[in-house]
Amino acid sequence: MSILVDENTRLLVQGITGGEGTFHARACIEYGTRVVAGVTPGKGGILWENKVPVFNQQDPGTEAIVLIGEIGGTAEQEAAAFIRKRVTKPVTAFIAGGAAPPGRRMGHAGAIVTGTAGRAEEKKKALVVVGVRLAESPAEIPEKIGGVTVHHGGRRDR
Amino acid sequence: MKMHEYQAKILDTEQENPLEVDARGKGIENYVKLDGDIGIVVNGAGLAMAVMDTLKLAGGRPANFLDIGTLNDSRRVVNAFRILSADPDVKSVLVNIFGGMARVDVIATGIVEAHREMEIKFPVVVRLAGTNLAAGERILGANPV
Repeated sequence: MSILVDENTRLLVQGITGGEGTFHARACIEYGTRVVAGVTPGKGGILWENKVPVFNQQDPGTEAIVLIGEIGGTAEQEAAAFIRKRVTKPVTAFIAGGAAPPGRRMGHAGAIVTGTAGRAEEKKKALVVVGVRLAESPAEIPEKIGGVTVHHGGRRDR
Repeated sequence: MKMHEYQAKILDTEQENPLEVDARGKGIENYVKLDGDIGIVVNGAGLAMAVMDTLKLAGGRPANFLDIGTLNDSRRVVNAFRILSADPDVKSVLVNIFGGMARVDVIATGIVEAHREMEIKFPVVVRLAGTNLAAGERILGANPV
């Protein structure tokens, strides 16, 4: 999946104040891309190269989070650990590839299931345990986002 | 020698599914034959897997995984249909395109060309969204298939 960026796209650069971020943001701006903001935790409030406002991670405008994952690797399990410790906003997840046969490479390199951690079921389990809602198909995502949540520290109770 | 050259040298294509070998020969690297009867043509591996999941949820069985990628070439779409036509298990085809870099009008042209160049006996259901959608819809509208 890809996004077609043109001269009207407003771009936000993660880690804009770092080495990679600075290099790429400069290149983007030189090419004509509208870099409108950057995000660097802890450096919110400054103006990068006197041009671009930098924000911390917290975005008060975000009310809910949707996580799209897929088979292969352990990124979703790592996300679950992070959600447990640091995320209080409601998270809904859709994990693609439950219907894929194990051991076959589905397109790009990461989407291959070897062992148990890469399986869709394992990822879903890890996420549910930390309070994430699961959508069984992309169409289910909107209904899962809605609803009432009660916050207890860093975790959600439904 | 590079790894893929080495692999190409030692790979015994006779041990592989002939449809998959044929697909690679036609430039479609991301095709996996499965055992259902609904063929799919999708851009993006993640979206293709999501389509497979959703089909299964609805009680259907995908005949294959196929990521057509973002190369804007209608011939690739034609080749995808050639491969699905060659699979006797395929009784219908679902095309799901969410065009970012892949342009919907190019895909639509490919669908029309595929129908002109081969006898497509199964029903084809097409869902289009994204870049150049209006142009794509016009192409399909003007060429009833």
